[in-house]
Amino acid sequence: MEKKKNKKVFLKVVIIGDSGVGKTSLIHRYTSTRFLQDFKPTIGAEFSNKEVVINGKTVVAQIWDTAGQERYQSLGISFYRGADCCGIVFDRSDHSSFENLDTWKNAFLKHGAPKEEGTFPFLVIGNKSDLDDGSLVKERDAQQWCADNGNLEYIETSAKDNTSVEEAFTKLIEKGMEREKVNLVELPDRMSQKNKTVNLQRDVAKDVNRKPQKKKCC
Amino acid sequence: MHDIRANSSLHKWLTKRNSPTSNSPCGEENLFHRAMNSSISQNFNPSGTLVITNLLDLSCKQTSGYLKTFKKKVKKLRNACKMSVRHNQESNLKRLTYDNLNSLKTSVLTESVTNSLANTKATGNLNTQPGINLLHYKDENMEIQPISEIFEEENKENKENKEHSAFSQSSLHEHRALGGYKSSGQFAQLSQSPKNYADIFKKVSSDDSHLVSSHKSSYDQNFSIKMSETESRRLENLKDSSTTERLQSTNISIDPNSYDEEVKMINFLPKIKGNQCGCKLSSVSTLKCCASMQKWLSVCFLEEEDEAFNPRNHPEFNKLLDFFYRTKVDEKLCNQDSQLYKDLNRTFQVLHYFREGERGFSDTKKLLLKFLAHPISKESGYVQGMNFIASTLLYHSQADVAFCLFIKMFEKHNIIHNYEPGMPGITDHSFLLEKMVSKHCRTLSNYFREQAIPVQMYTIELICGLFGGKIPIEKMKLFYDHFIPKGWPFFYALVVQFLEEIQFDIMEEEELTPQAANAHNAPNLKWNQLISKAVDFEFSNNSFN
Repeated sequence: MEKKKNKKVFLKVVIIGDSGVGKTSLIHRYTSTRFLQDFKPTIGAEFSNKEVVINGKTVVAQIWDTAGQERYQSLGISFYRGADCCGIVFDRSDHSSFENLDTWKNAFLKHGAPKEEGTFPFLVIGNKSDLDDGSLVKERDAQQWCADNGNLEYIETSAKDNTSVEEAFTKLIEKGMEREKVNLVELPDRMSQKNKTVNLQRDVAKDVNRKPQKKKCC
Repeated sequence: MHDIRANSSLHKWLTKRNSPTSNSPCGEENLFHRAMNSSISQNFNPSGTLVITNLLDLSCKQTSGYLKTFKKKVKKLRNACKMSVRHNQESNLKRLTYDNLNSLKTSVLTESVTNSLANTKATGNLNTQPGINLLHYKDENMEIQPISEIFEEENKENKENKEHSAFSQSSLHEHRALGGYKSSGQFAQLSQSPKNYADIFKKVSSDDSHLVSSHKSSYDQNFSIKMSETESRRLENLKDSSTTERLQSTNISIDPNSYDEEVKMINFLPKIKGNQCGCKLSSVSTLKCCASMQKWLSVCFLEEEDEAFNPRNHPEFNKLLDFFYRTKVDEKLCNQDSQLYKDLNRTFQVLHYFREGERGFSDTKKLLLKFLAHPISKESGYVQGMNFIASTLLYHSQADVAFCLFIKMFEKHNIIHNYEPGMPGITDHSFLLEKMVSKHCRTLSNYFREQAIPVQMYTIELICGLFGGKIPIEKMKLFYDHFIPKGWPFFYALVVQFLEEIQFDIMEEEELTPQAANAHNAPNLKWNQLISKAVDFEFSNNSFN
């Protein structure tokens, strides 16, 4: 039993984006396969766990849902830290949320302060594809933005119709796992530990997260 | 235009009629006679209360007949209003016209009541067999529904027009006028808010309890007019709710599986103006709120509970009220793309009352826009979480009164501090809460530390929304009953009780779901118990060490 548990990989996935673009709905669709009817703004942050098997490995993805309002970003430090990958969501029917992608990416890099600023795994998600009235943000424009911002990957989803939601999260998690391998190489002194990937990852996350917390306590 | 003049004199008559000092009925009665162009006034019963009591004796056919006349009259007057507005943009005229519209409503009601009286007198069944008529009324209740729709439609249009014109002035006028009607008792009630029949019936029912108790079920039937038979049967099963809004509120904690069905049912309930909360009405008749709201106001403004407290006599309250009516709002702050608009569409949407196009929605919008115009919000602007606080207060009163409490409460407990840039309040409260949690729920605190869950994770939502959206809205009253006088210490105690209650769900098999951590999906949570525990909570000297 213990062995099995140790094989799990823990990943922290953070989802960011403007208010009302459907972050909570996407996560809810992915973790509980239902579309939320009772919309409610996310205040602060929430998170849920989802266990999936990807490439033969059991992954426990800790998916963080964050508040879209700018004011809450000042508290983002504690939520973004230790993330393994990040999904930036925009609403395809709301062009301003697309224009804000820059802001979100920069805010994440600033507050989350991941080690590899240039290569940190982002996934750009264009949500609400079901609202097709001809005025949606075009795929070409979104792809262009992604290309200009470090060759990010782009995917179009609809939480309502359950279009490509699973695919988007699988991609995110795969990216996070790739990053983890890089980290393994970067931290050779921890390699000697018994349960390499698992504990290592968890320790990394803990260490990064614990520091600010300890400061607050004392 | 002749109509209008006639009706304003009627209005005058009604006001005088009901004041205790008036003892020369003949002259006024003639005036009434002329005003209504009707011969029935000889049968008019001078006692206002009795007249309203006899409203119950209206048989359905009579009522619907008068309602049709009424509908025509309203339509006519509305057209006249539109015309006059088109030709003359002066707000004064418009105000005048709308005031007269109100008196017309009163007059038509009076007319129908009087006719009914004449009828009952003639047949000699005055107050002897009201049950029969009521039953009759019940049978054909489908015909009644349109009137409340007319009223509501009227109300909406009335409001819209007001807002477009010299909004602040005319509202202020209305608001001042309310004080003047105080002595005219129930007629004042009719003339200020004749938008809904149900409201009038409710008022009557609270005054004539003997009638209510014997015909309660009939009332219920009347309120649930629009419902199909099965729906009303279901309602009957839910038992003992003299007002349908209470039913509406009992349905908030919804089982996810039956969600759609329940929502459908809520949609089905007639929309009733007045206190959604089902609380007792305030003893101060001119105050448009329930007794709980009045209690909170008295705690906020007087620092003590006073049942007879009339905030209208309090200078600070009047100042805020004045601000509410005088200030022009910046509608741009609530356009389609604004944060406020997005959130309004996501606040208590389970309740019909808070959906777009409904009064709860427009009142929340109005309150928050006025709040944004107030100097208190200069630093913060609108921040998510305020919507829940505003809506919770509006559940118990109208926008103007709720606004005063909202501002006063923000000042009293420095709530605004939580929303200012950098959110200093959150940091302070989280710091103290973390200490308390580690002291009182040691296991959970250790678990959080192990999982590297920052303290803000579970506190922000509670602090910013003041448990709004967590505690079902009908139980929020209990929270504010204690939070308003006691402030943050009570809040901390409740958070500790809340976390203690759900800690095993959180720690179970290392599965931390947002539901467990945030519990907005935990309808089984016994909030009454948690709150009473929090009230008894004793802070030890080292609670914060």
